[in-house]
Amino acid sequence: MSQRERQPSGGVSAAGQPGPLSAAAPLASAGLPWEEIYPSASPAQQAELLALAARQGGLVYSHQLPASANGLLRDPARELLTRLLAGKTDDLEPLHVQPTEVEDAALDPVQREAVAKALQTPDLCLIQGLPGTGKTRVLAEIITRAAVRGERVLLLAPHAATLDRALHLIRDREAIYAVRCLDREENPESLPPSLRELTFAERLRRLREDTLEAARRDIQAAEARSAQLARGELLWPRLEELAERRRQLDEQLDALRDCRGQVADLAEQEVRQAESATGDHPLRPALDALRLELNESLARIEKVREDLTAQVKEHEREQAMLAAELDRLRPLAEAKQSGRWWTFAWWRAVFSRTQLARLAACEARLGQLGEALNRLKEEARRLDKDKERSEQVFQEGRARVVESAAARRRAELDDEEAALRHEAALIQEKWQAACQEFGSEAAPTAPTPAALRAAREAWQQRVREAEERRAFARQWAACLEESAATLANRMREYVNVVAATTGSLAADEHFGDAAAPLLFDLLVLEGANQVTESEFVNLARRARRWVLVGEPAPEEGDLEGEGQATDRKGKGDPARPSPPLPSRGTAAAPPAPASGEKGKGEGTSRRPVSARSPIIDPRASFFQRLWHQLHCDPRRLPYAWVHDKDGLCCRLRPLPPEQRPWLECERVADFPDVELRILAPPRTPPVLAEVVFPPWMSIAQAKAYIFHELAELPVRAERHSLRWLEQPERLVLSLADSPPADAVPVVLGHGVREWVAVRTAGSEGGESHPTSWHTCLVEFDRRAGWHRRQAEEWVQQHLGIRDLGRTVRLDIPYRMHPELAAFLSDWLFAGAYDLPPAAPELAPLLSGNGTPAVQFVPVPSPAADRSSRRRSEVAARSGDGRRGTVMLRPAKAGAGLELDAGDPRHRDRLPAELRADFSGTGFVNYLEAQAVVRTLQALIADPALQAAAQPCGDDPHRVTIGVLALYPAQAELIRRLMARVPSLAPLPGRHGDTETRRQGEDGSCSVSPCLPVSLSSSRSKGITIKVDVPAAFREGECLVGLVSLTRSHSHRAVSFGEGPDLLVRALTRARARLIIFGDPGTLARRAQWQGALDHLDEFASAWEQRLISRLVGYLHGQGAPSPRFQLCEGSAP
Amino acid sequence: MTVAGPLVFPGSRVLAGWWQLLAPFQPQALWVAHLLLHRVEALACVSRPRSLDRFARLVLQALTLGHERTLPALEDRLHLGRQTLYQVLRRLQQEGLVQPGPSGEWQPTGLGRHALERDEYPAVGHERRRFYFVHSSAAGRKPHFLDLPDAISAPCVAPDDWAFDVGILQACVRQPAEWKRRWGFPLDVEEVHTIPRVGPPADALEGGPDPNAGAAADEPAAALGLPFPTPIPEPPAWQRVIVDWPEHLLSALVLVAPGSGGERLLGFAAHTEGWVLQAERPAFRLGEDWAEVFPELTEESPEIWQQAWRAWCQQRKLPLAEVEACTLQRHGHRLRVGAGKRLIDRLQAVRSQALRGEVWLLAGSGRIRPAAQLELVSLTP
Repeated sequence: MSQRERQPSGGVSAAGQPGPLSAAAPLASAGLPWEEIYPSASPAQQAELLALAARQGGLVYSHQLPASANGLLRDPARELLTRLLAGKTDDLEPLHVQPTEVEDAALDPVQREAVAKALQTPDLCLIQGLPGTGKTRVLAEIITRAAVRGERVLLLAPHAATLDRALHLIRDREAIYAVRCLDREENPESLPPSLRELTFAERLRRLREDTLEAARRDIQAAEARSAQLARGELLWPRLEELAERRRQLDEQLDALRDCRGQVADLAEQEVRQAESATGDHPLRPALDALRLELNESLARIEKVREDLTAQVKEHEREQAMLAAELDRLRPLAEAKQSGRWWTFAWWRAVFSRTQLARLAACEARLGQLGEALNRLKEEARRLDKDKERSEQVFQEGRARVVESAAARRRAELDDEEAALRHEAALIQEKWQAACQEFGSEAAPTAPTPAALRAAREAWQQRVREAEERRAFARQWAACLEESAATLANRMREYVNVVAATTGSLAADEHFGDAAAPLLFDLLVLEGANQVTESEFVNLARRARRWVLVGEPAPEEGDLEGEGQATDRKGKGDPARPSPPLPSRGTAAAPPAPASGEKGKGEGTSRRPVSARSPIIDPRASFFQRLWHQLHCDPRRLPYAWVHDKDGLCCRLRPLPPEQRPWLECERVADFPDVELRILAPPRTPPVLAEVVFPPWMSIAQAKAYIFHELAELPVRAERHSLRWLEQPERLVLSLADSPPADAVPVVLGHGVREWVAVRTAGSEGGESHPTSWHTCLVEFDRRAGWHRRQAEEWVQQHLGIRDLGRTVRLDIPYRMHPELAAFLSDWLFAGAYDLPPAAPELAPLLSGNGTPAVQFVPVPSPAADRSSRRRSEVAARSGDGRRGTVMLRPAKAGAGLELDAGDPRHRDRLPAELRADFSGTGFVNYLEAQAVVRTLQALIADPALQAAAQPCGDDPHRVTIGVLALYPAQAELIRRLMARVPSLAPLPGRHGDTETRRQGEDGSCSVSPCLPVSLSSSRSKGITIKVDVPAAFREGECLVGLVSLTRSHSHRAVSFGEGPDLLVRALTRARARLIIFGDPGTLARRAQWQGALDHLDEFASAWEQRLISRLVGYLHGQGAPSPRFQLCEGSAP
Repeated sequence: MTVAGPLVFPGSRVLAGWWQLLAPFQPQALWVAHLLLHRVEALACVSRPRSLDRFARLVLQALTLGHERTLPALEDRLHLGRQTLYQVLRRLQQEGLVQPGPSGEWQPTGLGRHALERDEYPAVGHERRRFYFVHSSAAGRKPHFLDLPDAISAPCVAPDDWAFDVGILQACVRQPAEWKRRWGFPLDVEEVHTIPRVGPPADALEGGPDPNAGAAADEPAAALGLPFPTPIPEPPAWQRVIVDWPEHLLSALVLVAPGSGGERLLGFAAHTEGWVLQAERPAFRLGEDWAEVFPELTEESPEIWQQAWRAWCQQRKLPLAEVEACTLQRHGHRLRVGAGKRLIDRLQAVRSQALRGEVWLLAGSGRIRPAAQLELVSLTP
C-alpha cells in the first residue's frame, strides 16, 4: 500500500461500501457536475475517488465527494500552484513519458524529451533554458504536436515579440490554425504582413472576402467551362458525319487495296474477254495484230514444212529404190571381192562390169540422200523452233497487252486512291478544326466512331462534372454569403492556437473574458519567468494543462562565487560548499537513517544541518520558485569527494570554513582505518560531516562502504538535470552525458551499479583542476527484477531525490558558435552552457580567419588615451599586433565621454548636423558611436561575413549584424552616423528607404529602430543591420553582435542600461561574433561598487556588478581562455 | 438541501385546494408522496440524429467532386485556406464523416455518404446524463426508473439504507425500445459507461428491469440501419464514474381515468413552503404499469383509514365509542363514513366542514400516503 493510500485525503470516504450517511456528511459539492468536481479535486482525492468507484461498481455517492470551500468549487490552478509552491509535491505522481514523434528532426534528445513531457503531462511541465538553447523551437514543436493530436493551445507570452517568433516557426504548418491577438498598444496596420494575416480580423476578412471572391471566380470559371462544353453539343453531329464519311473512305481505300492485289488477274481476264469478244474492245486491235502476225508466221512455216515434207518423201522414195538396187548389186560385189568364182554372182560380176559401178553410184547416191534427209530434218526442227518462237512472240505480245491493261487499271486505282486520300485529308482538317473547339481534354483521340463514342461518353461525363461544379460553386458562394455573419463563430471553433500576450488576452474581443469561454487543452506560456503568480492563475483557468517556458533565475549561476562558477563543468574545487536541495519532502528529503549506522557515530546525526541557501532573487517569479520545487537538480546534493591525507574524504554536507573548528575526529570501532569527522557545534546536536578513508581504499570501495554503512549514495553530479532512460535490459538514472570508458563501477546491491568518472588532476583549456569524482549514472538491471517505480523509490531512499518528471532544462546554445558559447557560458552563466556542435554556416566567421569570438573595443582607445593621460594603459600585448590580445592595467575612473541626451546642454555638445530633431532618451557616447560605425564599415567589407550573410527574408528576428545600444539615444546616434556613410545606406524598399527612413527638415536621415535595414552597397547586399536597444532584440539573433555599453562617466560608478537582464540579452544575441564597445575605466569603477546603484536595487546591482567584474577581469587577462577573447587596441577590431 | 427530519404532509384544506386544481385531469384518487429519488449521473453513449449544416454538407460534397481529394485539390474548390480547410476536415473527422487516407487523400466515410444522402446523420457522442430512480425502503424492492425532468427535485440527505446498483441502470439501457417508451427512458442512450468493479460482485438484481431483455437495443448503428461503425473515442476512466445524488420530491400522485391520454398515474410536483402544487403540468406520467413503480399504492389497508378517521375525530374530541361505531368505506377519492346520528349531530353542532364534504384525510405513516375526501353519511334513517 502506498503512502497515499494510507492517508486518505480529506473529504473522501475511504469506506469500500456506502457508509452510514448522516446530516454531517460533506455535501458541499451538491449540484455541481462531476466534470467540475473531479478536476478540482487534488490528485490524491482523484485517485481515491477512482479507487472508491472501482470498489463500488463504478459508482460514488454524493456524500463521498470531496467538499468544496463555501459551496464553491476551488480554483484548480490556484490550488495546484499553492500546493506546489509550498513544496507539497508528494501527491504528484512522477511522470513517465513515452517517446513522442516530432516533426523537427533536428531536435536533440533533451529537446524531444521536453516535447514529450509537455504533451504527456497531466498537469504542468516546466521548461527552462538559457538564451539561445532552443526554447522557442521546442515550444513550436509542442504546439504543433498538440495541434496534430487535435488539441487546442493557448500560447501566451509577456511580450508580443516572443509570440511572433514562435508564430513565425509554426504559422505555415498544416495542422496549425493560429490566431494572434493584438496587444494593447498594437493595431493591425503596425504589424508586418506575415503577422497581420494571423489576426482574427484579418483571417475573418480573408475568409469572408477572399474566399467568397474566389468562389465567385469559380462560378465564372465553371460557367465558362460549362459553356465551352455545351458547344460540343453542336459539334458532335458534325464529328459524327465526318467520322462516318471517314469510315466510308477507309472502306473504299481498303477496297482499292484489295483491287490493287487483283489487278493482274483482272487484266488477264480483260484480255481474255477481249480475245473472245466479238465486238469492239480496246485491246482487240493489238491482240488482232499479234494474232495476225502469229498466223502469218505459222503459215509461212507451214508452207516451208510442206516443201520439206515433199522433199523428204522424194528422197525417201529414191532412197528406197536405191536400197533395193543395192540389195541386188551388193552380192555380186561381195562375190567378186571374195573370189568365189564358183558362184554365179562372181561370174556375173566378172562379166557385167557396170554392175559394180552402179553399185558404187547407188551407194554414193544413197549417201547423198541420207545427208539431204538429215538436212531436211534439221530444217524441220528449225521450223518447229520458228513456230515456237512465233508463238512465244505472240504470247509476249499478249503479255504486254495484259500488262498494259494492268497498268491502266493501276493508274486508275492510283487516281481513285489519291482522290480518296485527298478527301480524307480534308475530313481530317475539318475534324481537327472541330476538335479544337472542344479543347484538348474532350477531343476524340481519332476520327473513328469508336473513339468518337468513347470521347462523347467522356464529354458527357465532363459535362455532368462541370454542371456539378457549377452548381457546387454557386451553392458554395451562396453558403459563404449567407454564413458571413456566422463565420466568426465558426472560425473561432476552428482556431487551435491562440497567441496573445498575457496582458492583452483578457481584453481580446474574441478570446478574452467578454467572449464565450473557450477551454484550451494546453496553455503554453513562454517567458514564464516574467509573469506573476496571480497573472498566471488568472490565465491558467483557461486550460487543462500548462507548459511554462522560461529562463533560469540568475541565482542559478550568475551570482555564485567564483569558486562555484568555475566548477560548473568539473573544473575548480569539487569540495565547494553546495547549496542544499530545496526544502521539500521529495527532492530534498533526507534519507532515513540506516540500521547499520548505529555504533558508527553514536548520538550523531549525519543529516546536513547547515548549507548556504541559494541566492534567491527576492523578486523571483513564481516560475523560478516553481522550478525550485519541481526540478530535481542533482547538483544541489550536498555530497563532495575530496582528497584528504592522501586518502579519500567523503563530505556528507557542506562545511563552511567557520565550522571546521567544531569538527571532532573519531575512528570507526570495527574499522579503525576509517575516520569519522563529526560536526559538534555548541548547543547543536552533533552530525556526521565527513568520512575519511585510508589511502589504500579506492573510490569504489569508499562508495560501497558509505552505501553499506550509511545507506546513502554520496553522489556528485555534473549536470543540472537527471534523466531516466528506459533501456531493454536496464534502467538508467543518467547524471551525465555519457560515462567515459574508464568510468569505475560501484556495486551497490543486487542489480544496482553506480558508474563514477574520475578526472585526475591536471590542466585543461589553460586552467588547472584537482582530481574529481562525478557520478555518471546509476543503473538498475531489469533481469534482477528492477522496474521504474521500484528504482525511483530506491533513488528516493538512498539519494533523497525524487524526479517528478515535469521539468526539462535546455543547456545547449544551438544559436551560437561553440567558441562564443564557451566564453559567454563562463562570463554570464557560470559555465551552465553545454557547448553546441559548430554550425557549418558559422565556422567561416571564426575558424577560417582566426578571429576571436569576443572582442572588446575600448573607447577611447588606450593609445589615444595615453596621450590624453587616461588612467588605463596597455600592459601587455601578444599575437599579431592588430588582433593580438591586449590586457589593460586597472583603471580607477572613466573617460567621461557620455552625454545625457535628455539634457539640452549635453545635447548641444553633439555635432549640429546630428542633434537636429534628436529624440532619443538616455545616454549617448559620440566617440563610441563613431567606433561602432567604423566597425560596421569594416565588417561589411569582410568577405567571410558577406558569404555567411543570409537574407533575413520575412523573418525580422534574424539579421546579419545587430547593433545593440543600451540606450535609445545611443541607438539613434549610431543610426544617424550610419546614414552619413554611403556604404551603410539602406537598400531601397528593404525596410530602409520607403518604410522606415524618414527625411528630416535639415536633410538628415534616421532609420526606424524596429526593422532591420538591408544594405544597398553591391558588395554588402544580403547583409542586414538592425540598430536598437536590447529590448527590441527580444527573440532576435544576429551573426555578429555589436554591443555599445555607452556609459563613460568620469568619476563615479554607473549602471549599464535598464538592468542586467537586458545587458545579458544584449550579449547573447550574437551567433558567431560579439564585439563590445565600452570605457574600461567606467567598467572598472562599476566593478568596484557594491550595493544598490541608480535605478537598480541591491539584487540587480549585485548581478550587474558580477557581470562587469568578470568582464573587467577578462580585460585584465584573467578568466576566459585567451583565444576566445581579444582586446582591440584601436577603436575598430 | 433538505435536511432529514419528520415528514410534513399538507392539511385538509390544502388537499382540497389541490383537488380542485387537479380537476381538469379528472382525478380518481390522490396520494401525497415524499419521494426519495436517486439522481444518477452517468456518462452515456448517446446517438441522436444530427442535421448536416450547409457548410459541412458542401465541404463533404466537395470531397465527392472530381477524383483528386488531397488537401490542395480540395482547397482549389473551397478556397478556405489550407489551414482552415484542415481544421474543417478535422472537425468532420471527429464527427466521423470523413477520414484521411494514408496518401493524404480525404474521403467521406460511410457515415459521411449517409449524411450527404439524407442531410442528417446519427451523431454518436458521450454525454453526462441524469437518470432518476424512485427509492424504496421496503425490503427487496429495487429502485425503479422514473422519467422526471431536471430541477424538479431537490437535494436531500439520504437515509441509512441508501444504495444504488449500477446494474439497474445498465439493465434499463438494455431494455427494448417499447419498454423505454413505456417508461420514458431516453431512447438515444445506447450505453452507460462505467469502470469495472473491483472486489466482490454486486448482488443480483431482483425485481428490477430484466437485465437480459432487449439485447437488440444495444446496436446503435444497426438500429439506425447503418452498415458502418459510428466513431466514438474511448472516454477516460474518471469520466466513467457514476455519481448518485439523493434527491427529494414532494408530489401529488393522481390516479386518472383511462382514456384521458392513456396514462393512469400522474405525479405533480409540490413545495412544502406554501404548499404550492405545480398543477399545470405533471412532473411525471406513468401508464397502466404504474404499480411497478409504486406498489404501495395498491397495498392499501383499511386499517390505516380507521386510524386516520380515529385521529381526525380525536382531534375534535368526539366520543371514541361513537367513532368506533362508524363504518368506513373507500370509494375512489372518497372515504364514506357511516356515522351515527349523534355523531353527526355533534358535528353539525360545531358546523364541521366534514358535513359539507370539504375535509380531506391522509392515511398511513409512510412516505406515500393516500388522501381521501371525507363523506359522512348517517347510519340511522
